[in-house]
Amino acid sequence: MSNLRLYRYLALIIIGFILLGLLFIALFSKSSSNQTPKEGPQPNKNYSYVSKEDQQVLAQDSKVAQLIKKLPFQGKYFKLEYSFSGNVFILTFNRNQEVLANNEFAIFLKDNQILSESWLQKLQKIGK
Amino acid sequence: MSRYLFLIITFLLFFGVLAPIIHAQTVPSNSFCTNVGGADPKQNPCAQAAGNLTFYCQHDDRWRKNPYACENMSGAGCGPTTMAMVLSAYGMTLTPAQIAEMFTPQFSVCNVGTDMVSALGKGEKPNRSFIDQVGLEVGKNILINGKLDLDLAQEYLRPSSGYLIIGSSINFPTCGCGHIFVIQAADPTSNMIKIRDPNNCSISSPEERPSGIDYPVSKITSWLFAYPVKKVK
Repeated sequence: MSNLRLYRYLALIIIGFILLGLLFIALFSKSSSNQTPKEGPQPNKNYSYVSKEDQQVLAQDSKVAQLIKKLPFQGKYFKLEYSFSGNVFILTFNRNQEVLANNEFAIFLKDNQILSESWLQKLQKIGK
Repeated sequence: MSRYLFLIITFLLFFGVLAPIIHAQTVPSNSFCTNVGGADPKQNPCAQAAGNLTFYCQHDDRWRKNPYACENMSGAGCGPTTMAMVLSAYGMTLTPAQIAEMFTPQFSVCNVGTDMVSALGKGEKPNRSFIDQVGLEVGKNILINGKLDLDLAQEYLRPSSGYLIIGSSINFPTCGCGHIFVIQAADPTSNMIKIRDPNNCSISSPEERPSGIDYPVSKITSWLFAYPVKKVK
C-alpha cells in the first residue's frame, strides 16, 4: 500500500516535470520568436530599385561591356582600345583617311549592337 | 521493478527538464551587431578594415534605426552602406548614415530602398549630383547576358585599374531579397568572387569581417547590375 502511495507521488512528480518542461518549451519558443528581429531585409523584397527606363540603359551598357571584351580591335582604317583605368575608349586613325575611318567605325559599332557612339560615353579620337 | 521506474523517471526528466534547457541554448540569439564605437576593428566588430576598405554593417546600432526609404537602415540600407564601404576604400570616411542622408530623397525610393543606378549617374536621365560630389568614376555595367562577366570584373578590379564593383541581385542568397553589395575581387579560373555584404554582419560569421566572403559566382542569380566604381577626385 505504501508502495502504491509512493508510485502515485512519483507519478505526480513526473507529470509535474512534464508540464514544467512543456511550459519551458512554450516560453522559450515564444521568447525566441520575439528575439528574432523584425528589422532587417525581408525575403522576397527588392531593396534595389531600377526603373524600366533605366533597365534599357543597363542593357545598353551591357552591350558596351561586350564590346570591351573584343578590344583592342584593329580595323582597316582605325584602331579601337579601351583603358580600364581611365574608363575611356581610344580611337586612332590616319588623319588622311578620317572619313573612311569614321565610316568603318560606325559599321563596327552597329555590328556590335551599339546604336549610338554616345553609348561609349568617353571616346578619344586621335588622328595621326 | 524499481530499476524500470528509475529508467522511466530519468527518461521523463530528460525530456521534461533538460531538453527544454538544451533547446533554449541552441536557439540562435539576435545576431545583429550590437557593439558601438569607431571604425577601429578592435573596438567595433561591425567595422573591420580589410586593406583600405572598412566593412560597414547596415544593422550597426549607430544607424540601424535611422529612417531610410520609408523604412530604416537595417531593413533598406544596403545601398548607402555599400557606398560607404566603397568610399572608405578611397580614404573618404562617410558613415552609411551620412550617405543615406545624401541619397535622400533623390536616390532613395519609399518602401523599396536605393536607386543605385541613378545615384551612379547612369540612369536614362543621368543625375551626376552624387558622383560629382564625392568624385566617383563609374565604369560599364559588366553583366553580359544577365551574368557577371568575371574577366571584365577582374580587369576592373586590378590594382592598376583601381576599381571596386557595386553589384546588385534581385535574389541574393543571404536574405532571399533584392540586395546591393561590394565585389572586392574576382577570379575567372575558380568562378569565385569576394564580396562585402552589408547585411552579413553577424557575430556568428567572423569570416566575413577580416577579408570578405568568397562566393561562387553561380550562387548569386538574377543580377540587376554590376558597376565598377572608383574615386578619382
